[in-house]
Amino acid sequence: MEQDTRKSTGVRRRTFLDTLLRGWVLAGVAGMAYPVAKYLTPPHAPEAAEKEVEAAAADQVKPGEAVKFEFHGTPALLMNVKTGFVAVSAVCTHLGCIVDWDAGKSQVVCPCHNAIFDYNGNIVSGPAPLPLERFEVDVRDNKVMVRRKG
Amino acid sequence: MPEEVNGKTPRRKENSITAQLRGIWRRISLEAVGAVVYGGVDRRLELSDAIEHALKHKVPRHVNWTYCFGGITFFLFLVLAATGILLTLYYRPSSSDAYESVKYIMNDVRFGWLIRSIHHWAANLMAFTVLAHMVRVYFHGAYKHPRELNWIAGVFLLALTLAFGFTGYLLPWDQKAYWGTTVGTRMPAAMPFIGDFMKLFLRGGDEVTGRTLSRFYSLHVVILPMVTTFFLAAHFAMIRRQGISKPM
Ligand code: HEM
Ligand code: FES
Repeated sequence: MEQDTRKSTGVRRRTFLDTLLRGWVLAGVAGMAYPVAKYLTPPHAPEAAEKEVEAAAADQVKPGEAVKFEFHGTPALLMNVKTGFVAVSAVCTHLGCIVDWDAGKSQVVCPCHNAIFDYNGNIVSGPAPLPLERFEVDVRDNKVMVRRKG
Repeated sequence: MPEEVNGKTPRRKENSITAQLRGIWRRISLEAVGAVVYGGVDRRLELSDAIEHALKHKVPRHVNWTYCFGGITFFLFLVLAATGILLTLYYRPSSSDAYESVKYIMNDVRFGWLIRSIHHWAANLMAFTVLAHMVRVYFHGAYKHPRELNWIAGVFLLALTLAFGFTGYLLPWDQKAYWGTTVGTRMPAAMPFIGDFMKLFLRGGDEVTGRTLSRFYSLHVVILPMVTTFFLAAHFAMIRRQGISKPM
């Protein structure tokens, strides 16, 4: 015969301890599974290596001019145009030559097969199949900071 | 429908979700595990004798808390394996990426700081507990006949534990790691005759470079775990065979 340990609470000792033990096991498993599940799901935050780079000092690029800079290992072009600072990848989307800035026409020109882009990176003429990748630009404390979009 | 698990059947019919939740709740217990192992699994594989022999093995009276250090060391080894595997999901072993990827784990990956810190502290603790274990074995004279071979396996395990620490130290690829490894790999150069070769061999070149990093990474996550697993299996098999030593 099982002894009835119910007193005023109406809960048996056996039930109480069982619940306690199960709750403890469940909490332990959940406490480990939750951080691991979160860890396994990659964050949307950009990886450190993908974070913004300083392209140039703002006063170093006169209106109408452009400079090249390195964006995480690839060449990029920073231009000071009517709309302000614009940065695009300097790798031509045709066969990968490094594009140049044509100050007279305010255009980006590829020396290899004469692909021409406007200063937003859009195709004007020539063999390039895609526009140049355009970056986001921020001017802070006279520094032009460039980062990948999105 | 919920099976009889604790010898109880549900009192009344419930809607299916509640019934399922109750079923899950009931299954969270050692008894439920036992019901599976002694039930369906045992009917097919007849394992209960072996399991019982292992689980109901009596620990001799003289065994006290100092005998726990070997087991704690093994537990820490499992923690290190689990967290280490998780770290490889984001860590990148190259001279240009290693430092950034560790920063990324610490700052951006959710609970990355937790996984890396557990790995870090378990590693430090393991070096301590393995030494405590060895001191215990030494002062109990447990290395004596017939356990000489297990002492030798233990010496390998100690060296392997320290090798884990030494190779892991380089992986964050920060200043401390770089100079620690520069000094550490220069020490064997003092050995007569083979010293210069040892330094070259450990570094994978004349200097500590990305090639050293590749080499240490390979050791840390592939070679050392494999070799250690082998020695652990031997260590435990010998303990099972010979039993724990009697007090002196
Ligand atoms: C990865 C490192 C190691 C692990 C996980 C480990 C694990 C264990 C475990 C669980 C035991 C059972 C008894 C106890 O815990 O005290 C044991 C026994 C033993 N260990 Fe280790 N050990 C390690 C390293 C070492 C080292 C460094 C030595 C000595 C050089 C050593 C020598 C021995 C010996 C001789 C026994 C038999 C002791 C007896 O029968 O009383 N082990 N080991
Ligand atoms: S590579 Fe630029 S036009 Fe061909």
